[in-house]
Amino acid sequence: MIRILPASLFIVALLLFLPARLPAQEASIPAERIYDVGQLKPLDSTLKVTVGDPAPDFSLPTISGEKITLAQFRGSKNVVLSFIPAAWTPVCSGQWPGYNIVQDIFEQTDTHLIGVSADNVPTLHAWVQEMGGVWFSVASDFYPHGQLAEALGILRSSGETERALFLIDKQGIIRYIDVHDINSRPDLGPLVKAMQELKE
Amino acid sequence: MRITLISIVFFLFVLCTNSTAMQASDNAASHPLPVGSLMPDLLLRGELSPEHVKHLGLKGPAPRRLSEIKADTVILVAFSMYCPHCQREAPALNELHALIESRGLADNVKLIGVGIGNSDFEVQVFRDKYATTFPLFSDPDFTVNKEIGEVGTPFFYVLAMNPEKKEIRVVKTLLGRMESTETFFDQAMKAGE
Repeated sequence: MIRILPASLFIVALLLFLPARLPAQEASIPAERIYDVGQLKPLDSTLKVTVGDPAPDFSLPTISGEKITLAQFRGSKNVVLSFIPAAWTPVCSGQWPGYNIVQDIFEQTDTHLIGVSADNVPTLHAWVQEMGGVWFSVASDFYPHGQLAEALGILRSSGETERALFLIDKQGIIRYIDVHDINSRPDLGPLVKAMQELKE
Repeated sequence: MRITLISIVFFLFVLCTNSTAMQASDNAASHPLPVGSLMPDLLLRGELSPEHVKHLGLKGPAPRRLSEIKADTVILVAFSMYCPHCQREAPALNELHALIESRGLADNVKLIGVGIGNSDFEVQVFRDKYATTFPLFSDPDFTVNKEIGEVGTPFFYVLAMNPEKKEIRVVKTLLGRMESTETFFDQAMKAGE
């Protein structure tokens, strides 16, 4: 018993200590936890806004526990809304980790990124935790279900949103829209170009 | 004493199990080209610096085929800007490139990356973010990835180049991050012998 105790304490201490020594890193979600939705109808909604329109205001709960509104950025930040159709699905799980390495581009262009889906907050929290966290805001358009997505015209008949990007300037005007084929990831290039043009 | 030893062995086992877990963004449809098979002569797209065009021995910046690279061995890394494992592997890839040079093999062994599903812009983000020292190509429409077996990322193909026979043969593959740059490189060189 005398011998077992120090050894056990040694192991427990090391097991506790080692994870703390590892740097915080983004992680890929294991493939078995991803729900394969297969090939979907590329678009299943009718856009209700166009470039030049005022964006509808919103007040959405986020995974950090606060509400986020468009109005809070009026006059101070441009806003990108990155809608993903659903947590725990293949393309979505690969899209936001890419945004994790371009925080500097968003900051240089005075742009606040908000990731949005129609999943509820606990689901989004679990999914984002599984991918190792993200630096940007993650908001839930769950209830009233897809209200913001519906106002923009990107709520699909299945209740999920389209995969879409909206760039909104500091005056609340929509300056860029990419409602993308739900089955593929939008190229970051055109969005960044639009953000940089807004900065100039 | 025996229990202490068993405990330490158990601890090391747990540690090793964690460290050797495959670190890759895998793809369910993946069907990598097996070792010994021929690699298609891939069309490589994207923007290269003049230094990298020269380094690879290419006649011009574009278009270019894999077979045009002047080397005995090409190490092709399929990566993605969006893949966290690739983001973490980026410094190790630069180390691998430096290792090739430090061994005096820069003329014989060429390391290249292909950004699977990545546009030129997205490849440039990766290049800038990690100060990538070796040539990176883009694959915005997954054309290359379809030809190389829709692999997960990162994925390493070690390729033996045989311009006389007009053959490019797969001699080693690896899905996921290298456990050790030196070990991987030594194994790659041995596989190509």
